[in-house]
Amino acid sequence: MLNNLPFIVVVILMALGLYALLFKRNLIKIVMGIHVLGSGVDLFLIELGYRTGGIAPIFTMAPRLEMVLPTPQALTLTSIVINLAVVALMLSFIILIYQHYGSIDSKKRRLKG
Amino acid sequence: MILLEHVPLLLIAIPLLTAFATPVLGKVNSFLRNFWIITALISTELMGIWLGHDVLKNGIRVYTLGAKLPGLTSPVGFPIRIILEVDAMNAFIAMIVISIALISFIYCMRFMEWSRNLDKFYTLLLLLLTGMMGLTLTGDFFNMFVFFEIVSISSAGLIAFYVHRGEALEAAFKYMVISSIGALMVLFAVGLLYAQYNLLNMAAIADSIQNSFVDKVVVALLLSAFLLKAGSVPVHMWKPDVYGEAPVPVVVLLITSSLVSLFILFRITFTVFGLIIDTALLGWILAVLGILSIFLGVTMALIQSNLKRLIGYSAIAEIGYVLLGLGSGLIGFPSLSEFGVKAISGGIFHIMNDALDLSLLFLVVGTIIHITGKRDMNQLGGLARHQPSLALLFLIGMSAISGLPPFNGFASKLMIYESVYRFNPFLTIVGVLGSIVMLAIFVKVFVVTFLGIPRRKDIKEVPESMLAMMGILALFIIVIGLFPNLFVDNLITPACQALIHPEKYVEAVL
Amino acid sequence: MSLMLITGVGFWDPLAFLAGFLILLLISYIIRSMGEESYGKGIQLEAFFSGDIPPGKGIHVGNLYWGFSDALRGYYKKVVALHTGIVNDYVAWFVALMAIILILITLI
Repeated sequence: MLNNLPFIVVVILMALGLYALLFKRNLIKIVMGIHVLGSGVDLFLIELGYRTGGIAPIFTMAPRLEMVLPTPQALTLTSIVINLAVVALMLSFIILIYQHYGSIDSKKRRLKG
Repeated sequence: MILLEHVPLLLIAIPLLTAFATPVLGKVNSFLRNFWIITALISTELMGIWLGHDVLKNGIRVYTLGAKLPGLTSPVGFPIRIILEVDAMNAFIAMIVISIALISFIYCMRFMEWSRNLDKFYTLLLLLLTGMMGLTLTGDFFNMFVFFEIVSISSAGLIAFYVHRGEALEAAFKYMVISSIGALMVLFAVGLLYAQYNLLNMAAIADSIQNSFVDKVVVALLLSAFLLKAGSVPVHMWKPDVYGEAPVPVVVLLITSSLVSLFILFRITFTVFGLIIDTALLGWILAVLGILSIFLGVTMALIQSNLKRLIGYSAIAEIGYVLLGLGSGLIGFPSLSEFGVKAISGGIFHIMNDALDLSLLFLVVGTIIHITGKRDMNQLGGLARHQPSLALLFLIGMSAISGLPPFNGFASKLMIYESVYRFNPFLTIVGVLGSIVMLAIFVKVFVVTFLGIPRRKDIKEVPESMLAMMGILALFIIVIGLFPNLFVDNLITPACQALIHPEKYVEAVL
Repeated sequence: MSLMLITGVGFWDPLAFLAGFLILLLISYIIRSMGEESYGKGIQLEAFFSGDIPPGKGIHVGNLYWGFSDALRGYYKKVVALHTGIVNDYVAWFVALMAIILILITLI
């Protein structure tokens, strides 16, 4: 049970993100939903890379030469940076949308049909 | 040849480096900047053709970053490494992408010349091209995710380029929400694959795949994410919004990017999971979604009055034809009958024709908006009197997209119809009906915008370079329409063979 | 090398089609040139409304196919209502598609 705790947290985070995306009408909360969803996926990748008693792949001061392959960490770093860019871009869209529409409600939209 | 070895990487690197050189050169001189971009793109185009020629002659080309061979220097198993793998299918899509991008860039030079932010515009446009080239050529899943996000972010920036219009911002926001969720689902699927196999390379995963429960989840996630990006029903709704608001040269590249995601979808279903998973079920899902896309696309296009939105809905229908062809080919995979092969080649052929026809129509509509300033077709009329050449180009584009002989759309649609008919006649009937309604819609658009009494007097002239680019597209449409078998024999059949023989794709890497 | 495209069941020869099309174009041009030359000056611009006063505004060529969309009114009412333009609904459709594909693939 306790070993699976990180995976349960991943599922909870992704569900929360999807909940915000589906039911929150405030655009900023939608962006928060995307970020929470992204954090869930990141946590999943990190959790994949965990090995009990593993040694970080830093060659200086390493006690043994059998080390953990740092691929999931590298993937997570990339994904965090991309998530940051996405969130920053979307927040700047929201600022401009507020200037034009005077509202950040997702139901106030002009494109439909 | 040393250079030829590095061409797959250069196809991604040249647009990327040009993108970041653009703002610097733009500070010096705008002519220098344009000259630099065009030179870079033409050299990319030539390299793409060279690579395609080489792949057709010598077989699959694998480019490994940081090592001589893809499988070297690993303690256990297949190493995690950036690998570009180019077979006939990748090379075919790459050639389409660069050609359309080159045409759209030259069109841009006059179309966007009023803007003060051209440096940033070209930077983003080149980044979008980089992302698409990367998506096309990459051989591993994680880079696929990275390039997917590059495409999303740069195209969201471009969609919001008319920042004085609230609608453009709204469209960009919707696109960004939709595509970042799609990308996160791709990343989640990649994580699941990595958890099982310790692999990220497509060919290596295809070799060791098990068809466990988790694999099925992965297929569902990847399938829906790429269907979302391609814009099939029921996740098509971002498409008319975005195509209606983005600048026209950007729309042309976005069409190409949705065709690229279709290609990735088929790469995943055929090459990676094709030999293991229940392909009949997947094929039916895709074919039914294709039928729904055709039906909904044409019926919704009928009631639109905004020209760009209208063509956006017909673009959904065109995606439906590709899904129909390749989906019904997938039903019988891997033991394909002759009709299955024909259906798949018809679908691949239609990818090329889609890119050409929709680009031509969008460029013509963009020119109409450029010279009149109106995007609602009910405010237009009698344009043929001022611009007969524009009317002729639109006529060619609309005949091609609605599948009238002897244009290119007819050849590919005929291949799809006649082979899909063997699987299920009902699918073909809906496809033919969709084509008929499509023709009816475009006849209406043609009559409203080009015939009748001119409504406006203040019509600007069309710049020659824009006209020339549309002319080149029209020329391609006519040539492919008149000599379809040359293209089918030399380009489509090798691409189709590359798609339906996953074992060769796997062998080239391992 | 033949220039015919083999398409599953049949074949398609664009050049033969083009030749036939040009011949038909020539024939129709000949028939047209045998027509009355004086017809059409100043008459063609006005629409004929059976003697009624033509409706000036309201109906224009953009209303072509109103019969089609009127016959499918029920369908269009539903489908246009589905295209709400709200971003939450777009996400909902995506999640629904994902769920359907997942259920189909894992259960069948």
